[in-house]
Amino acid sequence: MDVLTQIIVSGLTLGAMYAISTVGLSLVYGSLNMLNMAHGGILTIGGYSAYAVSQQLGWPPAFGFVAALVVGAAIGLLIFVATAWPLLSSKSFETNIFIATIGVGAVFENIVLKLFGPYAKPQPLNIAGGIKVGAVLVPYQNISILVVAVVMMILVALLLQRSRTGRAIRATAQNRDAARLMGVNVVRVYAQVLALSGALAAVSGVMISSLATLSPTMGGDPMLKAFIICVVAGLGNTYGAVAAAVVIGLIEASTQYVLGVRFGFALLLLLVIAVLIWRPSGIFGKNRVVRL
Amino acid sequence: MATPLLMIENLSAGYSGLNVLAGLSLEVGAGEFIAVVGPNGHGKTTLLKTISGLLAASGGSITLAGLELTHRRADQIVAAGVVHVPQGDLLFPDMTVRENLLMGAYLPDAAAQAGVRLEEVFQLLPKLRERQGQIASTLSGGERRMTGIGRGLMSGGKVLMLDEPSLGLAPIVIDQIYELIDRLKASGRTIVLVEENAARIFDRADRVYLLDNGHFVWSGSGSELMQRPEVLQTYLGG
Amino acid sequence: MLACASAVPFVFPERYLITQMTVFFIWATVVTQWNLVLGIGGIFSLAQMALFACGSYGTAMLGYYFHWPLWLAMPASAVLALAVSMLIGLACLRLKGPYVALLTLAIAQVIYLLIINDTECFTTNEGGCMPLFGGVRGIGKFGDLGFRDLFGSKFIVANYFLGLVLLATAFGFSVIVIRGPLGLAFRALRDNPGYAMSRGISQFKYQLWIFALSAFFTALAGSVYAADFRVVGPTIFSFTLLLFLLSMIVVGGMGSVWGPLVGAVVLMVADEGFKEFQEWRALGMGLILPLFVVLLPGGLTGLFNRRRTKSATATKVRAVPPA
Repeated sequence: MDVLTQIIVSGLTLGAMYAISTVGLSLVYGSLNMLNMAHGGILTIGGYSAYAVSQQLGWPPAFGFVAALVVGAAIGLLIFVATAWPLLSSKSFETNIFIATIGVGAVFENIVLKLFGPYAKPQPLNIAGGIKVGAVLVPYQNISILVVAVVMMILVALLLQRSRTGRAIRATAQNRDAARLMGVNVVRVYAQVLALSGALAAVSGVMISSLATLSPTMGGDPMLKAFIICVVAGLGNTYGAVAAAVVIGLIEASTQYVLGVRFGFALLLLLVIAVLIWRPSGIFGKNRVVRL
Repeated sequence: MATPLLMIENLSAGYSGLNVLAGLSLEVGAGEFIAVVGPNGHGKTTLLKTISGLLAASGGSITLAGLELTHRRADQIVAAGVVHVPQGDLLFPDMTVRENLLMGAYLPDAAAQAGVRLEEVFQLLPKLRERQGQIASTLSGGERRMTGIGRGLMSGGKVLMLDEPSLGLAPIVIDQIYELIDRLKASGRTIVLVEENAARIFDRADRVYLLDNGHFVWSGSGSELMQRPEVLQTYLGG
Repeated sequence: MLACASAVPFVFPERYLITQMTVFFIWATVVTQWNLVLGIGGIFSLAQMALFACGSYGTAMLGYYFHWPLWLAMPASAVLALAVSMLIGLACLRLKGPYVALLTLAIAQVIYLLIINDTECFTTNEGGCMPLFGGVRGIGKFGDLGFRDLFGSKFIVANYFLGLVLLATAFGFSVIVIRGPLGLAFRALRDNPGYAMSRGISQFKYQLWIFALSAFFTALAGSVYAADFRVVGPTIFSFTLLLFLLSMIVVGGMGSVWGPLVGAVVLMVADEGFKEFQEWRALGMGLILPLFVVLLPGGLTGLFNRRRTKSATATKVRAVPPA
């Protein structure tokens, strides 16, 4: 029973962190057809921004959180202006933006390396202690991550479903040309989506580093996992991605317990490959007929 | 005709550097019903896409009531009043019929009228009222077409462009669609219609333009076209 | 050009230059093959170094555990890579572009993690505990090609020529693919997939072939790497190396015949130049990718082709008599 509680707590926390990071990625792919390989870099910068503001400037942790949000959004916009916008009219946009963002991600990692050094640091935005459930100590940090994640998910869902901007984003993702014919400025939508995705990535960076540590290369694996979750759910399906994130978080927690951290990722991958062979468009993905 | 509402002069456009339209000129007066017919693949859809801004023109000009539209973004052209109901409907597949219709009233001017217009669309197309909560990807062909046209009507606008409204539909359904188009014409709308099959436009169109290989090879009234079977035979196979 | 390259070790006998050029031959080979996969086949694969590893680890392990002579181990490991790539291809190639990228990246990353996280001692040697795949320290002492015995201190020249032969063969293969029927088929698939498919060109089959064959040569390069440097470790999975190689393709011009070579030369020379500024190396490399993709998408060969067309049309214009 205690083991189960442990797994559920870890799994849900992991799932929540992945969900935040995955939603942004999924929205960006859905509306822009862009695989943002700089996502990991934004994650890292987000984590370090919170660190810089609370550790180096000495401001209270809430400011650190807000700083991460703001910096993340700003970087998302920067990526839009520097890579997505100029490449919009190019023939092989998907390939080009993929390669360009790989480079941008590496640049971000290196900037962090230069500014903060290569050694791992603890994330100060951390709440110590926990409450006891049965014989298990459930850390406050996990609970706060879950709460923050759920609140953010609700806010994003409200934005998408109830606001005019959200309608524009959904329309652009579902049919770009039709959206243009409705009077949607799709270029502005792209900028908004990238900024939103950046903010979400930065927050997930703060969360992930609060449970592990801050390091310049911390973004790589979470980014890969976020992408895998998107792929399994079906690229572009944002709500499916959230569900998949939670499921994968739980699976990861269970395999970590059974096999140890080392083989967790490998197993996850084998699972993903199996899923994709069975359903090439992802579990919730729709195989839309393409008119040639 | 007084100053035409929509004026297209010497328009060329195409894909990957190759021009599909080779210097077309066309005038549409307010309240007129213009039809563009011709064999498939010769530029009809390209013409509408260029006017609505989905495709960039490579030469020539497009003006609406004196306003230059030629190199504007698609969303700016809609805001100016040119509404394009595209071929294949291009509905938002994961939205309901109602959401699709409301998306047509996205722009601020249209949004202010959204409630009123939605009611009008439901009056014109009662089927849509029935189906308003249904997800667009599950609709039948006819229902999709009606939703697409309804969505275009929600945008208001000064010129309504319809790209092959009869495409892929059963004759009975096509009748319904054209009944709708007749009512729109009767209410004074300016309509530009593109069709491959000229049969239905003879007694509806004020003027018909025949598009062949990117050129207008003939233009005249609908009744004139009916009296020229050889033109029909040559370009449209009778 | 081949003749010039052959003359170099005799005209400039500095050890450093010869070894660097050998390294260049190896990376250039990998890059010409990766270019086929990315630029011609349109396959977003990031697993190229995993296939390279098949070659180097394959050779090293065959030599270390089974004491195979390297002349046998090298081609054997290339064939192994052929099989592995077909497996990866079967799993990935039916998927759309971005899915392939993610899967191949994940596969490469998992292989890397499995290698460095395996701390169980499979066997022991002088260095102490050694895991099956060599762990973090890698595999060494698996034999060599006998060049030291044959040529004494001139063995580096022998390595050089081995590398040159490798590159020449791989490059020749890439030219055959690009200029031949396979290249044509891919261009058809890219320009008009519906028509190409209706004419019987199966995208999946052709992509699988190009993926597998390029894997063969990439693995050969990996095995030459193992034979030359006589130690193989997980550093070949480094992301910086991947970035370095990708930059060669982008700078040179993706999908072109000479692009990868041009890119390889430019980047290796630049890298030499930046030796002083090691700190900025990684940053610079990261910047090259977006800069070139945004500002010069056709790479350097693209720029050269544009100049050529410009001068050609200029000549034409001059030839027309004034009205």
